[in-house]
Amino acid sequence: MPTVSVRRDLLFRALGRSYTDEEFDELCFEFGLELDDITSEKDIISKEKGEGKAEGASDIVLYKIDVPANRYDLLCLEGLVRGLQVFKERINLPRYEKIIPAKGEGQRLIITEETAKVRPHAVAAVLRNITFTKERYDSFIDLQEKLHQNICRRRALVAIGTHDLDTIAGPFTFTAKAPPEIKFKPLNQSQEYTASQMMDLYRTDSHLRHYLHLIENKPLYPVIYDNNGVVLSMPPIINGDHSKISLNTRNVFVECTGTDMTKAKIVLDTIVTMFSEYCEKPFTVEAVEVILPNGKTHIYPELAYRKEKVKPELINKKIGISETPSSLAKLLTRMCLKSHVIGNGNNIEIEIPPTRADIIHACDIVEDAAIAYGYNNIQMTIPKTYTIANQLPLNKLTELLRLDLAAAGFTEALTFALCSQEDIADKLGTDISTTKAVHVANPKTAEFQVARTTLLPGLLKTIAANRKMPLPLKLFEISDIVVKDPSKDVGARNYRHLCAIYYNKSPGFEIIHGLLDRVMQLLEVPPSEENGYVIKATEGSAFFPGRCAEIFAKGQSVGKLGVLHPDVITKFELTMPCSALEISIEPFL
Amino acid sequence: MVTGPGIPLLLQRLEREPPGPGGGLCSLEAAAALGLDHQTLVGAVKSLQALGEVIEAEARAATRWELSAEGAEVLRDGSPEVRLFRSLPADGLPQSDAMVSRRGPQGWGGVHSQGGYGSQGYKYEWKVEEARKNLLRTHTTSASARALYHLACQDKFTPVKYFSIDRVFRNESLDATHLAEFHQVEGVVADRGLTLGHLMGTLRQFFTKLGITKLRFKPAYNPYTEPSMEVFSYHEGLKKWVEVGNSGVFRPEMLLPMGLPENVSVIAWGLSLERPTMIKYGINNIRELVGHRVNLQMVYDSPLCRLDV
Repeated sequence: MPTVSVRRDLLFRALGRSYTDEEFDELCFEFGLELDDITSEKDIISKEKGEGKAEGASDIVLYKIDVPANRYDLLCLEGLVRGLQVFKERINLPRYEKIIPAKGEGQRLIITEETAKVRPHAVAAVLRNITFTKERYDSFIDLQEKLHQNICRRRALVAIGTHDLDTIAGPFTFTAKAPPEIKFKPLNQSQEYTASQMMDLYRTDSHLRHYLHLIENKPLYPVIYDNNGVVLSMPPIINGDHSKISLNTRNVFVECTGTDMTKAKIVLDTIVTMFSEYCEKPFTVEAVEVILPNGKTHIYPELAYRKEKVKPELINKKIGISETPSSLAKLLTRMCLKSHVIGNGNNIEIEIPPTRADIIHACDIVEDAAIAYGYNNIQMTIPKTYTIANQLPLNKLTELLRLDLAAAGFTEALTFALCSQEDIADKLGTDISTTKAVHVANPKTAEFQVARTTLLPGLLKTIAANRKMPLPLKLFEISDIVVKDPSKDVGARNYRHLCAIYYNKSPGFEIIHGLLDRVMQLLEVPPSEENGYVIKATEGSAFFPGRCAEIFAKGQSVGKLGVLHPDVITKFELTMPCSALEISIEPFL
Repeated sequence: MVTGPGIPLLLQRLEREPPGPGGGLCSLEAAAALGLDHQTLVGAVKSLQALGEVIEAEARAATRWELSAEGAEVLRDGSPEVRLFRSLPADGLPQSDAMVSRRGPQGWGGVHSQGGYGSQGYKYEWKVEEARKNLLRTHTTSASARALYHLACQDKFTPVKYFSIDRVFRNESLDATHLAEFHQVEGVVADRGLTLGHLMGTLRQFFTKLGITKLRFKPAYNPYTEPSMEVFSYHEGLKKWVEVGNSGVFRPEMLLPMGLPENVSVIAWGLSLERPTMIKYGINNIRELVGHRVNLQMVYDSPLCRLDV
């Protein structure tokens, strides 16, 4: 969930009134935002670097507001204010207009075919006669960063470049060239570098190094030039210093390049709708002609308004309210979805503005109607669905066995399903390749290398963490283990195992054996070879030689029991003898 | 004296080639021709290079295009568009009928890329190999989705109420309140004509059973539910509203490709097991509740868990 940081004073000024923190929290709650934190620059630096470093930092109160991940129109102060003002019916949603310049007068962006293999798509627009203040400028930069992190998927899908149009001259060319052939002075640097040199330069830059991999190994890097060969940017890494924007910039050229055309268009629309507020003719955007390698031309930004028709009964039914069509139309208009009743009053036509790319189905419209109505105003009812309940047989059996194992004097443990390779192999005297374990491809630490194939390590680690407890320690767990199974669509299968251990000054093999007998008695499995269970001596790498048996029931091996090998005891950092039992309970379902 | 597998074979083969920059062998082709493993041949080359001016070798990079699984499918059966075209009868089919038969991966792929079932779709290139990659589930909703798919495969739709309490895994930074694995409780009701009001009513009854009565609902966002709601309850001790769950109505783009009838709504909610437990019992570190570091004395001494007292 993206977090937008806004200055409280600027926010209230734009909203036209002040709120107490509680009042604003309430407003956010109603609208679907969360006032996550109230802080200041000083507080932030204090927390991260200590009070000393915070000296002289700003005390201005900042609101950190959590915004839903699909609302690109709320990622900056301008968008939040606009959304909230329309919600409170203090303003109407502005109409965003695309101005197409006369033939030959508009800007053009030519895309060459070399970009196809590295970053094929580009869109652009111009914000004419804009006035920046420090706050508006900071907000403009912040919005680009937020978009980069979210919908642009850390610049992989789309990258944004904004330029002072008065420092460059169109037509612009978006092409791709070999790294040594690209040379320019990047933003905030004092000299020119080739693209290859920039890769090295930014390898240690805490911010930019994360994006190098997006183009580093490609034969050609994307680059945008103006008519005089000045480099505007090398997306997605860095803009050129020449065209950088300052507080005095009056005309902005916005370009979005990327690998996902739909998202590039949404990103461009978002930037221009948000900041065209500060143009001399507010909410107007000057169009740019983009020429594709095949000669086709497109005009951007799209700024499309889409119309949808939704029946009022559908909205009422889905929410569980009964509002009149005109009342519903009013509710939707408050959510920036301008609506009115059409037909014989039995249909609603909704205009979806370019700022609401998140509306992709009628259900999105239903949600907005419900938000405007107020979720907490909806009457709570119980579904009339009549069903007969049942427990999953495996879980039912597990619950029954748990109670009786506890009755037998054993204590339940709840251990981790992920563990290290050593836990299920080396420490139990066997090799990892024999375990058919499912491995995690990107474990954070050794503790998350594999999914457990046995419950034993978890229980032994529990004892190791509870060494000071009085003896004997009797633990059990009935839970899933995971093994590879090529016959399954996911390639693995869970088995429900029951594992119990007895840890004391003497191994207590007879106690563990007694527990097995008790479990079989509970499962109504008689102690007989033909139609019940039987145990047969066997070897087990985790067990003491001569003190290990395999358990056969229902025509198959269901597990093992025995005294654990001293090596296993030592490897799990234990000091006393221990006996263990582990079976699968699935054959007994 | 240099020895090694493949060296004599390689030298014999090389002798037949003209010397100098124009001649020579490609190691991959030579390995195949000589019946040697490529790595063995590379080892032989390196050993000979170490001798000095016996042979000359140059490293070259080559890229090869290989069809992915999806590509192989397209080669065999045609693209999804072609398959649809071929499956239509000679005089065509109304679009709504054609849509219904696309149950399964083709249906979902279509919804993501082009829309369908009344949706605009996300308009990006959905890839089946990406979807097939295995991961440890991050929420039990993935299991609920499977259960709903089985329900949809029945001949006749019957309303259901499902629940699940099971483990989930997340690759998050670990701290006092976060572990890599924890448990989720999930509830699902599928029936005709369910509303947001029904969801709220069900949640109110559900949380009352847990001893939580003061509830408020906040609009939220989940990719697979719309409308979505976060559930908050008032914590008397902390004197503030805390989030106790997440809920919503599943999106048609999720349900319709499964083949569920169009007027069936599915409401669902979920919460974690550990967080409410920690709040109720005043436990600050999740490791005291889950995992091998749990204090057994705490387990021995715990009273009955009576939620409705």
